[in-house]
Amino acid sequence: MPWKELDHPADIRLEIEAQSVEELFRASAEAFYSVSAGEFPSCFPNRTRGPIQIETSQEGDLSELLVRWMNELLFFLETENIVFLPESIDVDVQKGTLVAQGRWSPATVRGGRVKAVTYGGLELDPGPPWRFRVILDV
Amino acid sequence: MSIQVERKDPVRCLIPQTAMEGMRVPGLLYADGRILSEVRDDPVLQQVTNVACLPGIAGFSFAMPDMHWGYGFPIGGVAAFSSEGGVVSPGGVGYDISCGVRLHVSRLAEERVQPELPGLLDALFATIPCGVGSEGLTSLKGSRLDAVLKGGAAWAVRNGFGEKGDLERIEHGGCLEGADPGEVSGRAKERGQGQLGSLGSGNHFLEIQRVDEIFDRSLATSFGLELGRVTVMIHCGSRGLGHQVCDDFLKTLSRSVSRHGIRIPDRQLVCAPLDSAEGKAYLAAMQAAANFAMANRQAIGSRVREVFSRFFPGEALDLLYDVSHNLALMEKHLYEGKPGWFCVHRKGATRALPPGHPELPRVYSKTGQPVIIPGSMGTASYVLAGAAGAAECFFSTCHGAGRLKSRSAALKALDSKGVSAALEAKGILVRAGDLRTLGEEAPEAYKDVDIVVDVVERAGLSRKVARLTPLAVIKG
Repeated sequence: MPWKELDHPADIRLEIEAQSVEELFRASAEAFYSVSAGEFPSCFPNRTRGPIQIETSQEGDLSELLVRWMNELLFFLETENIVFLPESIDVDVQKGTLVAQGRWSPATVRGGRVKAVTYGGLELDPGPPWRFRVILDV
Repeated sequence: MSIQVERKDPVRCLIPQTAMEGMRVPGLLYADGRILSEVRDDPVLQQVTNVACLPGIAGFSFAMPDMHWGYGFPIGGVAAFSSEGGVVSPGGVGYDISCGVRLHVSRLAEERVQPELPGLLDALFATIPCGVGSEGLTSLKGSRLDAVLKGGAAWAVRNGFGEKGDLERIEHGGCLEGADPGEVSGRAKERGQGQLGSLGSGNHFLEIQRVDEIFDRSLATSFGLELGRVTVMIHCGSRGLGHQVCDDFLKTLSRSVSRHGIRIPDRQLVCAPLDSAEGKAYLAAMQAAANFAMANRQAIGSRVREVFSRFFPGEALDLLYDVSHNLALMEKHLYEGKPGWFCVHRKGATRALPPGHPELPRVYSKTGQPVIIPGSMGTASYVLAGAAGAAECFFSTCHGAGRLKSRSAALKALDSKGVSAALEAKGILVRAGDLRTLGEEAPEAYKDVDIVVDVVERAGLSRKVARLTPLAVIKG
C-alpha cells in the first residue's frame, strides 16, 4: 500500500509515497478512493466520459495539482457516483497541468465520506521517493 | 515549535504579539488549566498566531475553549477584521459554511416519550436522509436552487417546510440578504441540488434529548425548557454545496492574494481585502451557501415535526433557536470606544448576543440570544444565553465539545459496534447512516463539554441555562 494514515485530531491526514510524479498521482487516487469509498475500485468500467484535465493557479505548484486532482475525483464520486481508473497520467510540473486518460466505473459504495481535500498542512518532499502529506475533511 | 503562552486569569491565556514575527495583535485563549494542557503541543496554537498576522485584524486572535486543529484558522477561532483595511478569508469560515445547530422544544415529559422511543427513532431514521452520499428531501435545479440560495429558510417555509413563526427564531431571520447565487459555481450547485433536507455524515446528528438540569430557572422558563421535558436537536450544514464554494474561493483567492500584497503564513489562510472584487464575491457566495444551510435545517426540522406529530398528535415541537457556527459576517461593534464595522469570522464558534442587543429578535430581547451547544454523541448538550461579557470577543462563544482524539485513535479504543453497545448500555438508542463514522465519533474522542461550557460562563461570555442529555441519536 503506497499510503498510510497519520495522526490528526479531527480529520484524516495521509502520507502518500511513490517513486515518480506520475505514480504519486496514481497512488493519491488509490488513497482517496480507499478512504472515501472504502476500497480502490477494480470492477468493470461501463461509463463513457473524457479524460481528466486540470491546471493549477500557479505554475510549478505540484502540491496544488495533487489537491485539485483528488478534488476532481471527489466531485465525480459525489455527483455521479463514479470512480476513475487511471491508465496514463501526464504531468507537466512546470506548467502545472495534468491530463489523465482512463476509464470510469460505477462506485460500489454510494457517495463518499470525504467532503473536501484541503490545502491545510500540505507537505511535499521531492523524490524519488516522492512523499506527499495531505488532510482530507470528513 | 513551542508557542509562548501567558496565563492572565483562571480562564484566559495570552499569546503575546512578540511570540511570532508578523503578528499584528496578540492571541487570546479561553482555557482553564486542563484545556490548556490538552492543546499545549497542538498545532492549534500556531494557527492562532498565524491568524494574528492577517491585515486589519482587531483586538485579538481569539480561540474558544473547544479549540482544536483546523484548516488555516483553528476550530474555535474568532477574528474580527476592520471594514477599513481588513480582509475576508474562506479559511476563517471553513468548508461546511453555516454548519450549525437548532433545538426544538416539546411539552412532553420523558416518561410519555420513552415507550414510543424505538418506533419514533426508526420513523425519523426512515424519513431524514443521512450518511455519506445521502440525497435530500427535495431535488432542486436551476432557478429553484437559486431561489433557495437567495431565500434561505424563508424559501423553505414558503415551500411547505415549517411555519412562518420559525423565521424569527433563526439567526438573521433565516436569510442573509447579501447572498448572490450568481457567485456560486455550477459545480457547487451540482453538488447541492440533491442534498437539501439531509444530515450528511461526519459529526452531524439528530438527537432526541431530555432536559436534565436547569441552571437559570427564569431563562429556562422563557425558553420553554422544563426539567424532564423532551427536546430534539439537529446539527448539520450546507453539505457539498458549501464545501465546493470554499474550495472554489480558495483557488480564486490564491491567485489574487499576492496581487493585493498580502503575505500569509499558511496557504489555507488565503484572503482578500473586504473592498476587493474577490472579497465581495466570496462574501456573496458564502451567504448563499449559508442560506442553503439554514433552509436545510428548516426542511429537516419540519419533517421531524411531522414524524413527531404522528406519534404525539396535537403536541407542539417549537423551535427555540437555530444558530450557525461557521460564518463570516459584517457586524457593527463598539471597538476602542468607537462604533465601527467589522467582518467577524467565527469558525467553530457561535455568535452570542446579550440582552438588549438591537439585532436580537423581539422574543429574545430581554433574555439574550439562546446559544445551542451540541455535545458529542452520548454526552450532554447545553443551552446557554448571550451575556454582556462577550463584548470583549465581538459577542462570540464556544460551539461544542471540540475533538481531542484522532479518528484512528478513537477506533482503536472502541469500534462502531462497541460504541453502539456502550451507548445502549447507558439507555441511549442509536441509528447510524454510516457505521464507519460511529466509532470515530465516540464520546471519548471529544473534550469534556461540561468543562468547555464552564469556561465560557466563568469568562462571562455566556450564561448556562440548561443541560440536555441524549435519549436517542441518529448519526449521519
